[in-house]
Amino acid sequence: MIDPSDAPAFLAWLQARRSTRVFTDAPVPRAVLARLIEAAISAPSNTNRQPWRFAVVRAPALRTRIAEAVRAKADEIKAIIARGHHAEDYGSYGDFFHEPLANATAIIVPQYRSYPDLIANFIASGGGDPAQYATASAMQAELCSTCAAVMTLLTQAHAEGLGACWMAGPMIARDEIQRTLGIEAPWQMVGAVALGYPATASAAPPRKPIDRVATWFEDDTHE
Amino acid sequence: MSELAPAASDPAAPAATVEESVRAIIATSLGRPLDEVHLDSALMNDLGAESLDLLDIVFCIEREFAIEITRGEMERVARGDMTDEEFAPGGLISEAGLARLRQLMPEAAHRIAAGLRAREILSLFTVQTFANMVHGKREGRQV
Ligand SMILES: Cc1cc2nc3c(=O)[nH]c(=O)nc-3n(C[C@H](O)[C@H](O)[C@H](O)COP(=O)(O)O)c2cc1C
Repeated sequence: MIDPSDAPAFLAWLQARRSTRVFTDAPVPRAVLARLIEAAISAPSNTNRQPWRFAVVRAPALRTRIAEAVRAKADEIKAIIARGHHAEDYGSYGDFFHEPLANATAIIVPQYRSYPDLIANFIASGGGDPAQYATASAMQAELCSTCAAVMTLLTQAHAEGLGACWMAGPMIARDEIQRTLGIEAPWQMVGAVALGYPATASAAPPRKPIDRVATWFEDDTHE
Repeated sequence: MSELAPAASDPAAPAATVEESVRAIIATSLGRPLDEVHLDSALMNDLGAESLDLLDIVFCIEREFAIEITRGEMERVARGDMTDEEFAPGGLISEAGLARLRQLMPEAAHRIAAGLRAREILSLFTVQTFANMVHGKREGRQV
């Protein structure tokens, strides 16, 4: 347990988590990956649905196939963008699609599924119009829950001394990745997490200061 | 913003329309109330835009006015046709470069001072700078 007096140190530790994109060849032991999944499933979820699954890919040929599928799509869109007038702005974005995957020693593909909106059904059962109420589906609660799980997974990876990068880039090869890993409806991948032991330290990208992201309501004079 | 589209893409539309559409685009993009977005607001310093926000805005402006704005053009807005070496040797903007900036971006003149670095130019861009780019494009000028 973390003593509350250590909370500032805990914050500093959280702030030291980085998205890692370059890894050594050291494999990540299965037991460590299992702990990441244990951490993931400790996350909260709407009505405790636990609307998540995880494909944990250690097999080298399969990892290569995934990374190659993403690279092929990234090349395809890069060629399209090169024909337009924003090729220069696109710059090195293309590399962020597949590079972390290409040298990761493990890849985890988180998945979520949505469920019927329970509260909406309850409202309808009483003769109400669910459309009059914003319910869990209005915040894609199952997707949110799965993202919370991914964040706890990233936090555990940080504790294990692993580097990780949760990536939206692999979505460009979604169909091929889902086929390769047998991910079928209603499940849908939520990006992919590249994992491995970090080869280099990365600098911290700046954060917007809290006064730009938090609105405080501390007295009632605004009413 | 969309109800201004027809007027804005008409080359004969009054100048105010361009300024107003650009303000609206920027306010929407940055999620700011329109009355906080002034023609002399600097996007990065005053409105808190990040460089990706500037790209979002460029894409919106392109669509709204049916024009194309390249990165090179954005840089030229600031440094004209001076070479990198004349403009900012070693990344630090030269005296001549500063003078050119003040001339091309009078709306940001008060922020143009010795010590400014080339990579900070985007931080000078105001709402008016974007509107000027639109005017330039629509008058067929190379901006
Ligand atoms: C949903 C999501 C998608 C991301 N997609 C990518 C990606 O495709 N490629 C990549 O290199 N980084 C990706 N990142 C990592 C971000 O670039 C990174 O979190 C951000 O720059 C802040 O850096 P930090 O994580 O080191 O603090 C993604 C992060 C999140 C949360």
